[in-house]
Amino acid sequence: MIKELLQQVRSAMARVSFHGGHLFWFKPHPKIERHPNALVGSAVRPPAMAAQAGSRPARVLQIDGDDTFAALFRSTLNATLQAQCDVERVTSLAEGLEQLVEQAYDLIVVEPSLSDSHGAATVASLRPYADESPIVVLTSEEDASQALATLEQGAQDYYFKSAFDPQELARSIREAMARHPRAPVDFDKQRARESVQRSQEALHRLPDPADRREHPRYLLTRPLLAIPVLPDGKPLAAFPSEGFSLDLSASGLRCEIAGLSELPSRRLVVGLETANGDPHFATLEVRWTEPCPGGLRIGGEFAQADRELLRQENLAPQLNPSTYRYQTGLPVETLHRWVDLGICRPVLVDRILVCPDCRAVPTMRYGCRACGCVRTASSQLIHHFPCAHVGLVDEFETQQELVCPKCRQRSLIVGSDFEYLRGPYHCLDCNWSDTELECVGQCLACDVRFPIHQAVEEELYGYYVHRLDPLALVSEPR
Amino acid sequence: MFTDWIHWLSCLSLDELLWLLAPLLLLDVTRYAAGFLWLFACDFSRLMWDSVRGRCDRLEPSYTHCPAIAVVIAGLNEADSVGGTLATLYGTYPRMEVIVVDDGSSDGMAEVAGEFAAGHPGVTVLRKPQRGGKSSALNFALPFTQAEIIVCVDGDSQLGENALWEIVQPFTDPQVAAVSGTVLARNPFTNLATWLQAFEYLRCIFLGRMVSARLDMLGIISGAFGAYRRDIIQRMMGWDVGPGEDGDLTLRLRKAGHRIAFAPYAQCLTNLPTSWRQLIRQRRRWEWAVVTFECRKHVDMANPLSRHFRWTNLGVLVERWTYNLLFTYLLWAYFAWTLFNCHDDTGRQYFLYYLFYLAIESLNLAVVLYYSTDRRRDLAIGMSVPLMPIYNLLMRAVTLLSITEEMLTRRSFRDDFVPRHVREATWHW
Repeated sequence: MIKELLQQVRSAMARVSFHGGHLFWFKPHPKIERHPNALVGSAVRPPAMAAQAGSRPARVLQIDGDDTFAALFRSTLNATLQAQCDVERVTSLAEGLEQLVEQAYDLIVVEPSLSDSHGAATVASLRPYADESPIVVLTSEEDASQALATLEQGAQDYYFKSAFDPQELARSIREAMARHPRAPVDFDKQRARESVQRSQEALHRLPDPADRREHPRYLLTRPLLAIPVLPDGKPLAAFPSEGFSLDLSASGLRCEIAGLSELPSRRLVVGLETANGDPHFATLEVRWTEPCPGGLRIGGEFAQADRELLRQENLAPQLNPSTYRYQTGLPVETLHRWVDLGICRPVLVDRILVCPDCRAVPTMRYGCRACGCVRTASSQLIHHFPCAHVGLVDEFETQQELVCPKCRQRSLIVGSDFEYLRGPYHCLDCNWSDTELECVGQCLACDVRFPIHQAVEEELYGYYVHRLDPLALVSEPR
Repeated sequence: MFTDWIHWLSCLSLDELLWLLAPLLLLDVTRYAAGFLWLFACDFSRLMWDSVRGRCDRLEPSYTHCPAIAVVIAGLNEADSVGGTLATLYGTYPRMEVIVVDDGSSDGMAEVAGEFAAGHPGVTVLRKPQRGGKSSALNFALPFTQAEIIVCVDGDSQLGENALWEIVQPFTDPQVAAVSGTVLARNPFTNLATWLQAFEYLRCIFLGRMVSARLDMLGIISGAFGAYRRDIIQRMMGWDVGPGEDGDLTLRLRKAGHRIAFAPYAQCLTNLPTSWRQLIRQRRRWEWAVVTFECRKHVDMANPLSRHFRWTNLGVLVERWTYNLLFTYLLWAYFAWTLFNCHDDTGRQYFLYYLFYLAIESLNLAVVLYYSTDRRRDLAIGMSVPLMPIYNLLMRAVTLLSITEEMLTRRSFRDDFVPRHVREATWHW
């Protein structure tokens, strides 16, 4: 019976992936001090009352060092069993043994690698204190050899966190509660081996689309980062708060954030983890908050248009038409705070030429190299073949015809007597002439004229953020 | 055999000997030798006089004159060499602008020059879409510069040390309108042809023009390296059409009353033609120019009644007429006569000519070495003296052929140095 319960829980949780339980950008967990193991011998425990499934909440002891998984586990179980179990969580073996001495539990869910114990030894040390409660091992290490060793020490079932089915666990709890409290737990090696095999198969099996609809609700539980935003756009905290999402829709989000007791700002930037591991961010406008064990439950809407902090006008350089300069919507120091948090990263968008004086955008034109004006005239030359004379057309022109000034030949015909060549440019304002015109820039803001090779190069940076598309998450296939 | 010859020689009387040696005057070695001896005598005596007077500590020549110059490099299909030429001459003179004229090249010469111009300010590249000949290319550069001096350099030449400085120094004399540089060999030891040509250039250009300039009878400025005052060139309306436009411009300048100077230490190293065929074609072009310009176009320089008549101009003309025309015919007539009237002593006679030629040429070499800046190299070039008589005879034969065909058929106007549409439009002198 425990088996069916656990099976149910497992299929619902199969969508979730934890990468071994630790997400790369989260803070490392604080080290937990080793408690002196002063608990020896047996102690008097109040008898666990025999109960039918559903008559009283099942008492589950969770021994797990991973805060994230613990919180997730709790809420998942609550969702699955409709508040039919009380989950007590401890983070180390010593604490767990303390709890076991004081009271009895219907089920012990243990993660073998703890701060003060590892692998099969964890289960071995738990066994003497928990001969009335089945021990279920939930591990992040996907190693089958470990599995058997742990099972031999007395664990009932062995599950991998990454392929964990909450329904199965719920079933195992119900089984545990239906069992007689004093009945010894039989340890069946065959059954243990089968459970390991099943867990491994579950790891590699894709969930049936039918499985999803079996569950009454769509659970889009994903790890989540949240940073409160000040009114001027700056992030409030030095590092993001961690949590997980409960419900996600195209317009809003319901989530739970650990460690917060109250919300300093009604605007948050939330980052939800996606299938490939990168968090995607959006601005959330909080509508309601509710305290919950371990943190704060928040519900809100995704900010639209101007209220969205991470929109393109804020992050990409835009031309300001009054100052003729490129700037981002948010000031650069604000954006750099977000970069330090790891939310966005700077990307070189462009490298433009700007005015050397005021750094505004110039216009460019071809003009005189000496004075920069555009009133230049290019002269045309005539090359007269018989005498090899090359001169300006004006020198050749008379009232009626073209006459060569060198050899005085008259009535010149183009092509047979002469050809046209392009002559130098003359500036009509100053006395300059040359073969080529120069590219001259004029600043739009301060009207200063300069040759374009004196312009200053300015690098424009945009800030790239993985933007959350709620529709993509909701409809994403696994 | 040699003793026979000595015996024969000793049997000759003096006037017989002189009568035998007279035809040597038909060769220009003697002319050069006489000129060089005179030059050497003048300079050496001045040197002695200065040392006696106590002014012998000659300082290093300092360059005092620094006008703005525009170096014009006009070429056709010289993409391989123009980059090297630009690299060596860029930056060697302070107030310099460079104009590269591409006369309708098909090998990307304008692109190569354009790449250089992009990285170096003051370099202009002009491109004529249609080939028009070197004269039109040089004239095309004139409207694009306001510099005081135009220096014309060939696209495959390499200028020597301080060449641009040297060539502008004579312009301190306001009467000087143009200065010729010295053209020497860049590849003297490639093969026999270049070795012999190298010595010929040393003798004729380096020293020969020194003599002519001293006598104010310099009648040619090499197209490979020459400098002109821009305003005077513009007044002359630039170069005229034709192979030999460099000599033609010089004569026109002389006719207008200007002085032509020579800068012997403004040296330009050029690639000499390496094959005999190329060499003969080059010499034919040069000799056609003598007939076209000195015999036809500029024959009015000899008219004493013309407005700008100068005795020196007449001297230039007379020199050309005698040595290039008259003596060529006389020499070959004499040869024909001796062969026709061949006798036993003809061989001994020729050997005597050879020895005398060798003696005179060695004298020329000695004077070359006196004025030379690189004596080891020039001595190595001068070791070709024993073969010079044969080379000279060959060149004389080419001269005979060229002047005859130019005089009879105007052969230069069928040559491809100038493109067809231009040479058909221009006057055939």
